[in-house]
Amino acid sequence: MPGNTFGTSLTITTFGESHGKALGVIIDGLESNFQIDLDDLAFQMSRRRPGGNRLGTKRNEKDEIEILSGMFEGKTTGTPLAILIRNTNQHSDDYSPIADFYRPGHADYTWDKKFGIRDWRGGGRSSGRETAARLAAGAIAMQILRKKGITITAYTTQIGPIKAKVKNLEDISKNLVSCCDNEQAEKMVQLIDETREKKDSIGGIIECVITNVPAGLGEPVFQKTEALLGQAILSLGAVKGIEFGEGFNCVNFTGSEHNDPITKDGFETNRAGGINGGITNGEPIIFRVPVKPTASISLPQRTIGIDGKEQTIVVEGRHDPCICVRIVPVIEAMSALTILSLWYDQNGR
Amino acid sequence: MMNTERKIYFLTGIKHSGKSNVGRNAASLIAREMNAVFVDTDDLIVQALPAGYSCIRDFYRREGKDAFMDLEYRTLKQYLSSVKEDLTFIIATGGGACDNTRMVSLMKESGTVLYLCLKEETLLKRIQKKGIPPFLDENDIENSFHTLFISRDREYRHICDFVVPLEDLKSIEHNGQVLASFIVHI
Ligand SMILES: Cc1cc2nc3c(=O)[nH]c(=O)nc-3n(C[C@H](O)[C@H](O)[C@H](O)COP(=O)(O)O)c2cc1C
Repeated sequence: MPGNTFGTSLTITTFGESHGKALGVIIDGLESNFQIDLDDLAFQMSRRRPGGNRLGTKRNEKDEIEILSGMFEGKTTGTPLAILIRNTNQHSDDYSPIADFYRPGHADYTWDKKFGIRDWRGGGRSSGRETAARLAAGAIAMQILRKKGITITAYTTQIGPIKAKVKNLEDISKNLVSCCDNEQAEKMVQLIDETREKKDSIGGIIECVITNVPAGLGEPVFQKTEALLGQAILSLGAVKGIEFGEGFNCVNFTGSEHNDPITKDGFETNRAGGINGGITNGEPIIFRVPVKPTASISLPQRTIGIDGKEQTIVVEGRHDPCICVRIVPVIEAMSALTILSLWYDQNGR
Repeated sequence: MMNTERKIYFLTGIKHSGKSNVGRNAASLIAREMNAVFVDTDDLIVQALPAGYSCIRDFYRREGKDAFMDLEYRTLKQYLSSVKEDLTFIIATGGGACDNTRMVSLMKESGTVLYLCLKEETLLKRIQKKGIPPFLDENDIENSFHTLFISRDREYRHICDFVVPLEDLKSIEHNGQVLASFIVHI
């Protein structure tokens, strides 16, 4: 299967390149008669948008969405819902020399090896801009889940070496890095500013919590909840891993310490991160995601040209020193699409 | 190619990061394209040592850190005020330069501060090979170096204008090329 479709009972298919005419998504399998909140949709889109936050790139993309089908009188019809996002801000001139060489850390080299041709403008389809389409789809899935009582919240827990020390979910909207610790967020902002001045970039860790998920979601064995969430999240550029519950830290426990005791009222602890045997257990799903430092930097870097010759390049342009801030809503969106798909697998739409 | 302006690059970094060797190599590569001069502040300080001190370490041991930092600062300041030519200057500094706040300000206002950044393991291996310096605990080299590395690495990242990551297992020539092309393109 070509790699542009994701999901089980609910699928999304995205298309489009960063500097083409438009990008978009077809969502198939949605329940009917659901009233879409267009204001909320616009708000979610603004969270990913570059230029939407002082820390991001200065590139200003509008991300206005058009719903082409699958909606009648504001409600879903249950037929494929197509969303188009036209590219209005295409300064492909900014990027013109990059046609001649492969940028380290980007998909330029590998995609050229695979396809023998690439839309080099702004990274083409490997660009973070592709995620605008997923975000639109995910925002609708999120609205449907919210009505079912399920909430999804992602937030930054680490930028470079600076870690959140407390987990205050009220803090997330109060700082520029969507961090759950306002105090540490200030240091994170400072570090991002400093890194930008040095023409470099920095990564971080995003945590995501999904609450009120009923027990029983997930399809053994290849569509276990972890497997599907893993696919959803790892399909995002710059994401380098995913861990559930205690994750890699589980090796520091013995079995007696790591097992979550079960009582009449539920689980006493949640080291499993809400999933056992690939099926949700009713506890919140918790996972963490490392996001790599932005590949685009304006420091000199060594690479080869498309002619194979070694050279030192400097990619000038408006680069985003840290992707974490903009990836937070996209992680929520991909989680929503996954959980809604698993919900429909279990309960029908 | 003629130089049209004076450019000064200060190489900073933890002990054994290649400030002298790699810096000298980079300067010789850059010199093929334009007039470039390599200077090691250690050499300048040796020349400026007051009578009666056999070497920098001797001065440091007898006079203490503050006196050394003062000497380090004054020596560099004097050198910088003596240069008049429009050349590219590559100046290697001492491993503790980040602690010398007056010198850091001087470097920042006179040129571009580069941090030659290497992995902790690499620097530790070099230190183990080349002899344990007095500021590390002989009985627990790994831990004492770890503490030093964490604080210095943070400090250098903070004070520098740009970080230059150097490869661990590459030759001086290779890293010299990396540094030279960085300096030419920045
Ligand atoms: C929301 C989002 C925004 C992104 N923005 C940028 C960006 O501004 N600059 C950049 O170099 N990469 C950006 N990326 C990452 C690239 O898509 C990705 O790093 C690159 O294609 C290759 O990395 P990979 O090997 O992890 O896929 C972004 C990714 C996402 C998900």
